[in-house]
Amino acid sequence: MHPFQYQRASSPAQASAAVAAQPTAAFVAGGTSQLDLMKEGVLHPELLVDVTPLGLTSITPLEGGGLRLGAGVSNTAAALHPLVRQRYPAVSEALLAGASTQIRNMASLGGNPLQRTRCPYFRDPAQPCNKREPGSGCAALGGYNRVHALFGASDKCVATHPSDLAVALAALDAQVQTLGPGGPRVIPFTELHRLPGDTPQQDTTLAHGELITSLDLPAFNGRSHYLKVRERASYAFALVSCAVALEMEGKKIRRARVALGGVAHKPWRLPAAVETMLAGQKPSEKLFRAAAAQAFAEARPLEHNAYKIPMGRNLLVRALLETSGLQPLQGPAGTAFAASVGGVSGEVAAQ
Amino acid sequence: MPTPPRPLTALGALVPDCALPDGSRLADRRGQPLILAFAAHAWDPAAAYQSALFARLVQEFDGGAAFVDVPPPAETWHALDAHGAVAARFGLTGQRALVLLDEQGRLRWQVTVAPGQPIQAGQVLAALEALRPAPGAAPRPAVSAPAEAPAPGSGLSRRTFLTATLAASALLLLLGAGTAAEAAPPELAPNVAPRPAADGTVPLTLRINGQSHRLQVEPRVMLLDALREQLHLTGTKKGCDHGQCGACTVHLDGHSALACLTLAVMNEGRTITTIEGLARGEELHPVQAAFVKHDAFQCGYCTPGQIMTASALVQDQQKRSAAEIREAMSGNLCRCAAYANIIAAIQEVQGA
Amino acid sequence: MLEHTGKPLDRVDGRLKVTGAARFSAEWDVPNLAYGAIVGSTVARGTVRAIDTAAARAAPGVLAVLTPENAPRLQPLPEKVGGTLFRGEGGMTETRQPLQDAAVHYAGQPVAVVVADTLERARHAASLVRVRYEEQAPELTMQAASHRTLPETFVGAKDEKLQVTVGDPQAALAAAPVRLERVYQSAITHHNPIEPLATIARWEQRPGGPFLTLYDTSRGVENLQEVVSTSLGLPKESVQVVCPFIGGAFGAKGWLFAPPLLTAMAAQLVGRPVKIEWRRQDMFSVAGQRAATHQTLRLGATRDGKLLALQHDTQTHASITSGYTEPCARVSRMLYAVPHLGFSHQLAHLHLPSPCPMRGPGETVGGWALECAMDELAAELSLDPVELRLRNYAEKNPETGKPWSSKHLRECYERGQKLIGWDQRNPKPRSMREGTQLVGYGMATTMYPAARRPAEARATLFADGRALVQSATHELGNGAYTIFRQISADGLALPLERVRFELGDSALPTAPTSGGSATTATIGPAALEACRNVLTALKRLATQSPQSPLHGQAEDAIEARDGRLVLKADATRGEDYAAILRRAKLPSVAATASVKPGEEREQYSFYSFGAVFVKVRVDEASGSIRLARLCAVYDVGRLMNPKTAHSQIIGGVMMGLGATLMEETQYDQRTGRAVVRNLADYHVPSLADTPDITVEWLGIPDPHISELGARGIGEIGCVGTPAAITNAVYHATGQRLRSLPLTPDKLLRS
Repeated sequence: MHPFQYQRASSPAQASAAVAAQPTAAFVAGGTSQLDLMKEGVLHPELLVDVTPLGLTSITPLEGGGLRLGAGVSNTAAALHPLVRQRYPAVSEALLAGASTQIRNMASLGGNPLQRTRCPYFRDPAQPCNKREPGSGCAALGGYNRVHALFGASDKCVATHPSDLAVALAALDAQVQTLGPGGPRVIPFTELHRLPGDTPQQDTTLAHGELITSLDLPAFNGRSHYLKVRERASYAFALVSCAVALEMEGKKIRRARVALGGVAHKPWRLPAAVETMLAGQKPSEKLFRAAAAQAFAEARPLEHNAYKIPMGRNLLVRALLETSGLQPLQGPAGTAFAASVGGVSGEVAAQ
Repeated sequence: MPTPPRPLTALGALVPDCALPDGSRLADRRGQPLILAFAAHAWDPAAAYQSALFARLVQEFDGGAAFVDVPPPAETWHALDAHGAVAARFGLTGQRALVLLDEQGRLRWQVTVAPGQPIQAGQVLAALEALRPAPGAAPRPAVSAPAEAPAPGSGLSRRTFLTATLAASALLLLLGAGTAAEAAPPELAPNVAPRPAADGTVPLTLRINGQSHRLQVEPRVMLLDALREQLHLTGTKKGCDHGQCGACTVHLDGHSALACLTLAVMNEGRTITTIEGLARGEELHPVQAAFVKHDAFQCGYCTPGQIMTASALVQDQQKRSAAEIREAMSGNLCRCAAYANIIAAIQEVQGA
Repeated sequence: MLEHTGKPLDRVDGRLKVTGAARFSAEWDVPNLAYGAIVGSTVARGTVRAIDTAAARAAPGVLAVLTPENAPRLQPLPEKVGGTLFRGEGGMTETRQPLQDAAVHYAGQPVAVVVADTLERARHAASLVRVRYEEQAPELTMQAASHRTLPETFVGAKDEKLQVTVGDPQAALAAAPVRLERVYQSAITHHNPIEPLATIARWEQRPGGPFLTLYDTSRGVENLQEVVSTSLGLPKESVQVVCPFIGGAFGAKGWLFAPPLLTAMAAQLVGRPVKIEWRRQDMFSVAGQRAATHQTLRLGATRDGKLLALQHDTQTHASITSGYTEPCARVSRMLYAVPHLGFSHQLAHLHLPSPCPMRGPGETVGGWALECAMDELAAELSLDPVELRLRNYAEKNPETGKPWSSKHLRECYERGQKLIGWDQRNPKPRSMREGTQLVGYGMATTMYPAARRPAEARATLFADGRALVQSATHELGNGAYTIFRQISADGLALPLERVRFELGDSALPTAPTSGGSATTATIGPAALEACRNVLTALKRLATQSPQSPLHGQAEDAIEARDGRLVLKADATRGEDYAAILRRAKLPSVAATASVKPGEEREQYSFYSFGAVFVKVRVDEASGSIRLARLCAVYDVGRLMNPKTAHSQIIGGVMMGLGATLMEETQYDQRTGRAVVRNLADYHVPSLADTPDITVEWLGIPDPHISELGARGIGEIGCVGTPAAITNAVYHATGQRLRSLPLTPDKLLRS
């Protein structure tokens, strides 16, 4: 790791200004992603501004029924918070499906959506990677691309976004409160991340020095759910994941919002046309299959990741079936097993 | 921290004769410096290495020093029982210790290591310095030498001194040189960047297992490396160094966390507990005891991390289902895969 | 006589392990320690043209940069060590010595070592070293390999030929009424012990010349001593290797010697002790791996399921610098009564890191292929898979014709079926469901060769009534400290707490590398013999002393009981050990033993056996397979400690599970660089993957292996599990998956 200077932030404004003032400065909060990548030699900031002293650790109800999650809240605290579990189970499930107890204790909500891709070429400084080193090429494109993107990729980058939480936040249309060099602003969560295009080095639309201060969940009276497929029963990144936010009117779906994880450079909200297909309809497996087929119509598989298309379709159908109550959950709601397809212990299966 | 026991015999005083476990008597051994090595009941297989090291020590001393139960040049070293009768004569009740008697059978030097404590390098070196026979020079008092001790230099041969020096270096090597620990933590100035020194290091105080440790580290030093490389608290393991195995799990303010993904400087002011701080003296934490009972490990390398995660988990005294334990413990990989036994161990602690 | 042996005692090193006090190799507090960091080649094939170390050397705290230019010259590795062939085709290890030339044979090969005063500074400076390569196109797939060989033997063992024909398998296959030909493939996997490779090297000037101490993560301290002393041109006695605890090995940490050699060279160059702890990422290039395999199984059988012919042909790979061959036919050669048997191993040399043994080398993936083919044959013949195996039960070794030393496999099949409820399943594929998931049952036979090797031990009785028994074997989670203390306490007729067993130091009496599930069968008898010898010496002291109540008695009239020598005929006449020594004015009495297996090895074929039954759940929609339940019964001889043995077996089972469902290392097919190189992408099973496991053993002592009757148990759990799971997936889904690991993409694709 390169040497760097370390500073403790004294206020959000001071932190933002300190990072903004130096092109090679970065924030550090939980550290679980930032320090990991610094040790890998992928990132080498010359100044680290520690934002943990800022606190930002409160979860507060918003007027109108929403919920504000401070950027410094740990994944664990958010996942177990009664209001989060009650109003936004998908958020709790997504958080608990991610990483491990220890990492959830350390990681912060503000940092979680900003974690970088798990593309192995990005993480190996000896490999070409446009995201790490613009212009060096994309080694994944013609390489080992089993975990890469189906949607929205470019010839510069086929990486996917790894956060579980981000998928749930995208489905719930969360809003991101930030404080940047230009003052505070609000960003719709679906616009926080961007597609790679010609500048894959840029994951988000945040300005340099712009600090996330909270994630705001809008009022939501429907059902939400998160499902994730991973290669071992726990402690693994998603191959594909899916978050569903379903609002019902009687027996019909009033509004459906669905986001997929593991398939694109950002949490992949289904095209409006697909979500509209579901609105006003009675939930049924047939309907969901039709939506899933439509959702993956534009998928562009690479050499090794075509399996994600049937996997994603099936997962989407199951997530919709479980959210609408047509199929039971895989495990007790609110535990990670509800969010881990097939990750069923003997005990859970017996129930 | 516990204060080391005062020897029952004062430094410089003649040690009363007593029977040694090999059947000989202490008085029979006068005429050459004598090292008495006491091992705690806690057996340490690193003793295989100790054996060789002590044998060498004896050899290099031309027969000048002896260990009580094996005549030089011996191939094996057999420690005295630190709980035994001889140990009691030196004020020891279970602590590891090295004791040096000079040619006349006077107590010249004693270093004691309390259970679970690293040896204090500074203390040993100061004691040795005081032993140095320096004709013409004003002797400096040994740090722990009582006033009635005769002036160092008198009745103390160079051989005794060298024997002591070697013994000390052996002890340092074997038991781990710890950095000096302070009793009181200095105030943490909040929200202020530590001022780096010219070499880029910053002063840092970490509160670990109830003790404050002053360090001077670069900001890039991870908590894990500070623990292992600087403080020699090596119970916290490095498995992957990237948050992918859980071997480095410690408690930060009571929560399980990974020492490999947090900077040492980010932990100033936090309460840090490592595996070394979990047991209360000789009494194991219930999770530790249950791990032994259920054989919840094999090679033991991931074990401290497993135990730190598990002990954080059970502290709320909620009874978790096997499914919940499975998820909560999945961040600690065990390649020996003692998983089924780990579940059993945690269930037992929960049920207690 | 075996009072302690066989008891389910807690591990004697348990307290050290749960308190963090067990000292692993990177944890020795050596004064004045410097740190080494590796610069690995970024290319897989080529020549180092220039190494620019200026920036690294100018970085703060850097002491030196070791490159091929300034590295101490090394002698070639020995041809053979301890009877194991190192060099050539079929040889054990990488023969190229590190930093002796400019050639690059795989990505990640160390090309320089930076030494600095702190870990952080060393690692950072390593990133500043600039290496210029002349690159060549690497050969990275078995299909592309231009250098192929047919190795004769596995690591030079005369009874492990790799190209064998018994009878006429080709003709028998052609004539067989039922024929089956299938190709099975398995991926590269890594041991990934949680403790990374690490070495601390410390040089001293001693009266006899330079002396090197290595604290290394080695499960072969004496092998390493010999390799390092030979390489550095030192007398063997001038190198000491110390390793009281190993944080898991599983086949690694034994046969690849570049890491300790690099550390020794670095320490020599800077004149200070140096520690190199390898990064997990580097473990994917320097720590060894299980090679990928491409196996063709051909079975010929009668309509009622009697095997007529078995041909097992393996293609596997090695690096350019090693001839190590995954011996895939180890199971096929002995498991079933087949009149016509053939097997071959073709090796493709690739520009990839060197493979080495990994838990169940050959048996795990070779046995998987055979036992899957047997399941396919059973389905073809509409026979119960267990019945097919019983119809081909081998009453003697089919390759050599020798009788088994002890074999009770039928009982294992029987008991295993009961445990899993084999009869309650619907044998029709794709017939069973639980909720949205398909359920399947599968089984496989497992086995493991019961090796025993020569070894020495020393027992010392002290005048305080305590004893020390020593041998240069290893504690790698196998329970060595525990079971050898149990055996020694029995050998000396002393209470457990008065006996200590020491290991892990090359200065101790000779013991082989711990591997091949042979440690118990090897060290147990040596410890026992040393104890017996020391008691003989003690008897002599007693019988010759006029003051002893045993004076003048014949030695064979005396026995040891509860720390005393007593007359067999009158146990009240005798005295305790300490009294005898004190009277003789001896602080201690010691004796050594050097034991080796005898003619029984020529007369019998030594194997352990077992039967593995599993239940899997398959979520077809996501392609996920989970092992729900495993019931296995093993015939492994007498167990020395059922508690530690149980752990070892379930650990093997879980490693088999990992290899079957999730473990796979990938190298970029263009550059040869590892693209799976961390524990987030390389999935070893987590606690949540643990099935409901029931393992049992028959506990029947092997009458021929040694007086302890114990065969090894380290690897047999790993073998058999993969085929049982794969066969259960077929039962659940009706799909035959023939490529490990069975990741979701494969189920969704097929």
